[in-house]
Amino acid sequence: MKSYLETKNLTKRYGSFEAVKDMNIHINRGDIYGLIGPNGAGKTTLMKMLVGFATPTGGEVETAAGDHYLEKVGCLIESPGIYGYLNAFDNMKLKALSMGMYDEKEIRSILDFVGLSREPKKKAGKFSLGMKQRLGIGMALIGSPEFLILDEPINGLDPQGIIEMRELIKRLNEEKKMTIMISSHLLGELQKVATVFGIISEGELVTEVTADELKNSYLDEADSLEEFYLDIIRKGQKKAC
Amino acid sequence: MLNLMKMNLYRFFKTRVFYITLLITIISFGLLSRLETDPSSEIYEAHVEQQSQNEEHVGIVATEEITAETSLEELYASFTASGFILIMVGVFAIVYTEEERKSGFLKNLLTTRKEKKNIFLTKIPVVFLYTLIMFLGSLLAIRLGSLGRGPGMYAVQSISSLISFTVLEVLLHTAFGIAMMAFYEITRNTIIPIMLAIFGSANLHGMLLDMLERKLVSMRPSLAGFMEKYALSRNLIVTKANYLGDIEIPFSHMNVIIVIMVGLVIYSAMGTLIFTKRDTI
Repeated sequence: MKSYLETKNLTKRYGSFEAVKDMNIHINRGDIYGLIGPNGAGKTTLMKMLVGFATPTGGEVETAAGDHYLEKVGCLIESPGIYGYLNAFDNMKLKALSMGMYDEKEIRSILDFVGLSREPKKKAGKFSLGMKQRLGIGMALIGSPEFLILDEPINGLDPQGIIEMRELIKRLNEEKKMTIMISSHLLGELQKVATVFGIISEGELVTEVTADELKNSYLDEADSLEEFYLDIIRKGQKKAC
Repeated sequence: MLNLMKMNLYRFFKTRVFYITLLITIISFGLLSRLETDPSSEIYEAHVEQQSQNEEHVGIVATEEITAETSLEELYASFTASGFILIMVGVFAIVYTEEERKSGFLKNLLTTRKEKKNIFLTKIPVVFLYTLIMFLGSLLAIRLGSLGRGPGMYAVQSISSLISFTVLEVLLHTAFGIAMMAFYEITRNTIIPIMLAIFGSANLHGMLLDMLERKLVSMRPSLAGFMEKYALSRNLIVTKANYLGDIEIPFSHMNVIIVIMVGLVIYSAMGTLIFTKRDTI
C-alpha cells in the first residue's frame, strides 16, 4: 500500500440520510492533510469513522499501520475531552492510565511541549479555549501516536491562540514526524500548515490537491486555496442547477 | 481491562459527587440516628410506630420498638431500608457515566480501545466500591449517632449477620446502579434514569408488577401457586433485600443471592450490548 491511509468507498448513513458517500481519500505518511468543506459536508463524520467513534455503513479504511491502527491514532474531535474539575496533569494521567502508559516524566514533557506546564494546579474548566485545545492535543499525544486527527482545532481561538496552534501543528509534524489530518473553515490559516487538501461537499470527495499544485495554478499564492475552493463550490452549484 | 479499571479508580477518588453524597449521607444518618435513639424526641416515637410494622430484612429483623435491647444492626437495617442509599447509588452511577460522555473524555478512551465493552464493564467496580463506602459510612454515622445512650444500647449483637446483611445489600444496590448505568446508555439522558432510580428506590415498579400479577391470578386462579413462589415483583427486579419476602432466613439468603446474580448479569449484559452496538459519540 502506497499511502499511509486510504478509504475505500467509505459510507455513513443515518436513516435515509447519507452523511458520507463512497469516500476515497488518500493520506501519505508525513502529510498534513487539510480537510475542507461547507458545514454539514461530512467532515466530522468522516473523522469519527477514521478514529472508530462511528461505524461505517459501507466501505473500509485501509492503513499501513496494520491491525493496531487505532492505537496509533490521536485525535481531537469537535471539542477536547477533558474533565473540568481536574487539572491538566490529572486529565493526562487518566488517559495514560487507561492505556497502561503512565509515566510522570512523559506527561510533564508533553505538557511542556503544548505549553501548559506553567499552571499545574489550575482546573481545566478554568482554562481559556486555546489552553483547552492544547490540552486536548496533549492528551492525543500520549502513547506517541503516528497519526493525529484534529477537527477544527482553531475555531474560536483569538489571534494569539491561532498562531500558537499553527506553530504546535508544524512542530508535531516536523519534530515528532506525525501525519496529521486537520479540518478548518479558516482557509488562509489552513493554507499555512497543510501540504495537501481534500475538498468535500455533500458527503462526497470533490477533489484532492497538493499545496504545490495550488501554488502553480494561481498567480496569487496567498489566496490560492480560497479561490480554488470557491471555484470548486461554484462549479458544483452550477452542476446542480 | 485492568488499565481501564485503574483509570476509573483514580477518577473515582477525584470525583466530587462521591464526597458530596457521602458527606450528606453521613451527616443525615448521624443526625437522624441521634434523634431516633433519643427517647425524649418526637422522631423516636414516630420511629417506634414505624417499626411496629415489623419490616423484615435478610438475617436482621427490626424490632417492634426501640428499647435497650435494640441492636445496632436493627437500627442500621431500618435506615438502609429507607431507600436513601439506593437513590444515591442510582444517581452516582448515572452521573459518573454521564460525566465521561458529557466531558468528551470517552473520545479519548475510544481511540485506544478495541474492546468497547470494557469501557462500560470497568465502571462496575467503581459502583460497587461507592456502594460499599456508602454502607460503611452509614454504619459509622449510625454508630456515632447512637453513642452514649446508655450501657449496652445499640451495640452489635451479631457480627456475622451484620456482615452478611451488608454484603448482600451492597451487591443488590450495585446491581441497581448497573441497571441505572444501562438505562443511561439507552436514553443518553440523565433525567429519565434518575426518575427511574427514584421510582425504583420506592419499589414503584414492584407495586405495579404486583398489581398486574394479582390481576393475572384473578383471571387464571391456577397460577396462584406459581405466583406465590416465583412472582417477578418479589424476585427478579427487587432492589432491596427486605422486599424479598418473609421466608426462612437461610433460603432468604439464597433467594437474594440469585436475585443479585441475575441482576448483575442481565444489567451488565444489557448495558454492554447497548454501549457496543450504538455509535458511541
